[in-house]
Amino acid sequence: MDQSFSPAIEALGLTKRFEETVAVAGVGLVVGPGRVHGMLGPNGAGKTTLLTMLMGLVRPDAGTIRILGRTRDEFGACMLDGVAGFVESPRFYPYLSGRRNLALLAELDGGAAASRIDEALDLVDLREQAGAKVGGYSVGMRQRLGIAAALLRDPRLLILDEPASGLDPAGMRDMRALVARLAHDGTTVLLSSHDMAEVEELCDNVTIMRRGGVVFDGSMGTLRQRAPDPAFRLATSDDERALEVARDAPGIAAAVAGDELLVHAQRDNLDGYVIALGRADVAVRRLDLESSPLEALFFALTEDEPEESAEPAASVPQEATR
Amino acid sequence: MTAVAAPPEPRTAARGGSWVVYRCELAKLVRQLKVQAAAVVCLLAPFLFVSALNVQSNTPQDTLFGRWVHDSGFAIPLVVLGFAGQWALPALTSVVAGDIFSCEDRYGTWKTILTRSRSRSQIFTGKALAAMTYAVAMTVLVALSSLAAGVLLVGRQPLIGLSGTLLQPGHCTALVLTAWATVLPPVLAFTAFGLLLSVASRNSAAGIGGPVVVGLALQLASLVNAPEAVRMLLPTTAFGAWHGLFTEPSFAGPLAQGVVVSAVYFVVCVVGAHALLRRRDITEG
Repeated sequence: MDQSFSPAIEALGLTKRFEETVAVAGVGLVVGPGRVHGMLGPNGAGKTTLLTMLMGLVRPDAGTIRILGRTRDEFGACMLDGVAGFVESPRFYPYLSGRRNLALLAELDGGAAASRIDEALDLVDLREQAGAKVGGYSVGMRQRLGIAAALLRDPRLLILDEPASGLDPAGMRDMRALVARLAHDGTTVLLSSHDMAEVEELCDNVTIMRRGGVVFDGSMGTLRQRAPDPAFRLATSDDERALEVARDAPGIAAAVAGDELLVHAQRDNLDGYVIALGRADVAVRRLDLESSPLEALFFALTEDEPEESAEPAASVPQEATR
Repeated sequence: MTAVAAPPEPRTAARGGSWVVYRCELAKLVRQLKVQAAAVVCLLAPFLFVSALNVQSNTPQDTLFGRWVHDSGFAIPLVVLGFAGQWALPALTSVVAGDIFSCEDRYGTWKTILTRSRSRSQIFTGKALAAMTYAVAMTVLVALSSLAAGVLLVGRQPLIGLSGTLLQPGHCTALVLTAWATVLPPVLAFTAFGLLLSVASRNSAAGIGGPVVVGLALQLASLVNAPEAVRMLLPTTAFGAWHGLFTEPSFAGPLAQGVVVSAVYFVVCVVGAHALLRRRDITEG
């Protein structure tokens, strides 16, 4: 097989049960080479179980996994050659320094990994603290050390589970820039995250999971197309008059929500609505984004609907359910 | 957490992987405070023991060769060996063997090391070898230290053997070292038991304490008139198999029996621990 064109990850029909609980049910995941693929889902959706199966930590009850063209049955632990990353938070030996931890992992990796330790520490800005014992590291420092440990393997496929967790805003910015740079250089990235903005910024494709299954699998472009209008909270000087104006305004859906109005609209239409409110002598006292379109779609896809919903979500896309 | 049947591992895992893991494990062990402390205790305890004996006239007469501790330095390592075989050697070996797998659960580092292109069998082999290396090294250290303590603080006088014959210093040295060598099989059997507990319990307290408790329980069982057949099958019995070296003529039956019994315990525990680790789903740690 020509591996340069084969998917970096090709998982088919993966199922995993933990006693009576079905953690992952017949899930498929295909990640093309050189892509940044996001995985989203609420807690308990099965993301972590799927990642642990991909990394060989948990054996699936059913299904097949091919990583960089290799299966575990054929290649054993070597299936993970060229693969790096971490599931949940990266963990290290607390009685050893950061540098010593990396040296041990580099020895396990073999090859030229040891020669990349300084470079990896520089990339995550940990070189000065590398001599300190990991037991004294903050969560963010351990997270950065985890990324350094992954980079030691010079990966072709990087699997990251909540990589920005515990990082300060500057660290999050740097981590995202690093992921973007690695992707630009051709590294395939599978990024599990709770942060829709992070996935939107970094990913080409996204898989959204719920209760062990896939409820969306496709490109970010497709997801954006299917996303509902953003929702805004609007406080005015005269809500009744504002609702009347909304009825005549194009692309505006407004309703009373407590002391304010909840307005669903594209930004262009919202601009026109705000101008129309001014012309109707209605003052806009506050206008806040309630939820971004992708967030709204994510919630619609992953949250349980009320048992007796008067209006079922009409715009819930299910591009792919595997 | 569940486990499923593990298929045979392919032969494509990185060559020399067990050796690499072994080196990494040794590097980790020498940096652990408990290992450093154990080495210091093994080195100094015999000297402290002899010093304590030298300031009192009483002797540990209920222990084999105890009555000769003021008369021949060669009695010292044999008295230490008698004590050590009861609980100290199982405790000493389980400090590492009982913790070497469960520490990965404690630190949460299974996911770190199992995603580095090394197979579980390689990880297991490297860790098990490191634990055995530690056990053998500590046994050798305490043997040499107790021999040195006896010779330096008491002297190189001849020793009276168990049949009443006088054993010359050169012969004594060889017999003492041989006696200590005979406890290596049961030490390794207890190491394997510690490994099994460490894998199975995923808990260091159980892994370290288990072999000590079991060792003491087996000693107790052998003292309460257990049938000879049962006594023969206890790994702790092998700790006393060296007695035959100091009789005239010497007898090696218990030594051979101890080696066989220890080997059986060793194989059963190692195979069991390996199977458990290979089948395990790593969802935590």
